[in-house]
Amino acid sequence: MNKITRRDLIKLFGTTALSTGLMGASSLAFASKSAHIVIVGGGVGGAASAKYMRLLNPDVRITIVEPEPKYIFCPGSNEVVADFDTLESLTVDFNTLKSRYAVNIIQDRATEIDYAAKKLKLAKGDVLSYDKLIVSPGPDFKYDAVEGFSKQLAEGNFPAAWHAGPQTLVLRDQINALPQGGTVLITSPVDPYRCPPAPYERASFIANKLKTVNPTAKVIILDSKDDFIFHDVYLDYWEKMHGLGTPDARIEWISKKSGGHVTKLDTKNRTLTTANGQVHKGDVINIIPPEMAGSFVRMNGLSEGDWAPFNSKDFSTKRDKDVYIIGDSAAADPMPKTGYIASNQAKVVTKAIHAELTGKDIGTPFITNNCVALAADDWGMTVAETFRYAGNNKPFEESYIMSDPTKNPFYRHIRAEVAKNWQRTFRKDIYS
Amino acid sequence: MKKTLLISALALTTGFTQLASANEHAAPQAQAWTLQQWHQTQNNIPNGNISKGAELHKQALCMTCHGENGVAPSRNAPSLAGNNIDYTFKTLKDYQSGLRNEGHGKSAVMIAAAQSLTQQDMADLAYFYAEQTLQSKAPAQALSSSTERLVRKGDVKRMITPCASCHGVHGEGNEITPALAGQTAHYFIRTMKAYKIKHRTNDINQGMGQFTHDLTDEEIHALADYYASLSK
Amino acid sequence: MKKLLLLSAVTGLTCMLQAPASFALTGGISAEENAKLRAEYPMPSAEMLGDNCSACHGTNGAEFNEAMPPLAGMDKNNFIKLMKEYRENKFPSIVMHDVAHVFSDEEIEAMGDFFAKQKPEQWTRPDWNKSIKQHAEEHSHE
Repeated sequence: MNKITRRDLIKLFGTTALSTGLMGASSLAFASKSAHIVIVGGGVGGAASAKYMRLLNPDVRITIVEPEPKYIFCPGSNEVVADFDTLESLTVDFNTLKSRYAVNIIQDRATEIDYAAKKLKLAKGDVLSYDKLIVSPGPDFKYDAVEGFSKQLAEGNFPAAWHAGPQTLVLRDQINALPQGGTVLITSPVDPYRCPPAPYERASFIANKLKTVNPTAKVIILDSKDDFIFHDVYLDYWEKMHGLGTPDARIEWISKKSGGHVTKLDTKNRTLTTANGQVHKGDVINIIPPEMAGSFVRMNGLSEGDWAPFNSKDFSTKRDKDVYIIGDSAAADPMPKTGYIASNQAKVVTKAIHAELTGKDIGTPFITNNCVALAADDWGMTVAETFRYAGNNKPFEESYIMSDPTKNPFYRHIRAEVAKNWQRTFRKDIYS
Repeated sequence: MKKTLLISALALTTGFTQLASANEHAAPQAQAWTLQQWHQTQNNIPNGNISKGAELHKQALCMTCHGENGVAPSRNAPSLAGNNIDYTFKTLKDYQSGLRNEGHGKSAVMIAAAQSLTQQDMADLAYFYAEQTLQSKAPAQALSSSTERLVRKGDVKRMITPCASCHGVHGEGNEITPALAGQTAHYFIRTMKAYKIKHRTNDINQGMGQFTHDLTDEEIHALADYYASLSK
Repeated sequence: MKKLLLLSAVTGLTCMLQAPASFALTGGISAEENAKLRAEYPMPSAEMLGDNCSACHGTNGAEFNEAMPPLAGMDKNNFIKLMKEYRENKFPSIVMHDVAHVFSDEEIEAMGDFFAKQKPEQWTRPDWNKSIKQHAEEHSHE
């Protein structure tokens, strides 16, 4: 690898990181010929990679490239839309990664990989040399899947609110300002997309809120699918709480085969048109666009189709064995696109890198996804999924058990609390 | 009982949905007990059915944290085995009303779990746990003189009454004063600290907040080890 | 997620509700196919298995301030006994049966070893996110 001068090191790590390395990480180790692990993205996948890499290896240099100064978790953001939690409680800083795990954070956007030279170019002009590159930038949205919709509209009066942040607050304020008896339209995209139950959780939370403040208002989900995870639980909940199937239902789910797939937005008349020509008028229109791998992944030739393929043994990309792909951009079906999955993929990748650096075998990867979702503050559901390795060129094999619409109230009450518990614990596992 | 339970559970669920929020201390806030109110409630505790309590212990998911027969399998959960009927019954009432709420995390789970319990369910559970025995899992302690003094004599200067005067000479408890013998040490410590900083305030007259006010962490740890070493 | 849905009775609630048993939706590969894959490849390392638990139980199983119990420093035999009971659905559980049903005895023992070796000390430090306004999270205490 390239020679790094003391000045370079200070530029890279700052004086603090040089003097306060923990877990055995020291300035001496950095100055020696230790490997440089560069991570694109400071979200769940990227941050987990940095932390778990350090737990395994005190000597490697670890750098995260992330455009934002802090990270806002998506789990919990539907609570913010329905105004019973704040974005602040979902926000984490990178300070512990820096101070406790001696991770260097560069606030910039990664643009280009020079595969031959093993260098990463950043938007502001810096170039980083890497020995291993972990790519975890999250997904991008296909705004143009709905004619008339755009990134600008999503950042304006038609929030997608699918990354927790400013759009989440715009949507919250729009729900709060909904006229009496108004209509909220939510579109739910084709698979795969981040957090499969979230459109239905969001619709439930909004309907629950409207039930008290605006009881004649209505939520309509226009779906590009005919089925979704926890379908039975949500339909049961909507029947019990919101009169699903009655003329006064506060919530309505229109599946793809019933004409739910939305093709067009008319901003002037505030309408959505579906594939079969039906027109729905909405006072609030929340389009959740279909997704694809993040632009960094697509621009650097890591994706095939919408997502980036990888070797199942260690999540190294098909493009380059020293470049790894994890999180929502990876073509990881049957794994869903969840933070839980991204964090466990990070644990596999870091073990693989550490094994390689120390001349050992990677072993057999193993990944779980134990996810929670809510219909209400006291109505929770869980899915436990296991993914077993089935060969380097094959997808992982899945087994799962998920909640049903149980008659036992203890399950749904306690699972709701477990869901909230999990959100807090998860944030700490990645960033503390 | 069966139909009624379902209907009341659903009614409670609906009510709870409106009231609760994701924030801490957001469960329905309840009035503290007066002694008179408690005595009235105490006199009306239904006769519990132990075998129904045993079944509910499983079906209401108590067992998954509090262990087989109410003997806790982890350091987070208290053992319920061997505790007094009144204490268990009142604790469940206090969770249901939200009076016992030490912040999110563990209390939040218990508040959620208690929402669907009827008075009869609470009595069934309380009778079931009272019938179980709790064997100490900790080694026997040679009681240090300072800890023994706290247990038997208290500390007048710091207004600390002796633990044994309410919790019994062998930590066996009495009515709504819980048994401490064999209790999970970490739960004991957490509880004492919660009393100390007034996060737990559901005891009548809030005596525990006073008694713990000046206890040091070392004293709390020593008491936890001592009581964990006893059996009930 | 594959739509290979089977209805399988998991818990009996008949004593309480006189209703049909509670059902869970189960899918993916069968127990036999799971066993076949386990036999085909070396067992994942104890760290590989154990690290999958941290999103709920904390880094190295050392989250002591939440309802989900800490695993760090847990007695190995106690861990093994509980995991096998969850796996075999000996009693209703919130989610642990659904998690444990895929593991072999050897995998459970490896995880038991892994967690028994971890220090029983809270992993997260109180000041971990101090630049962001602290909310109720840190009010939770041991």
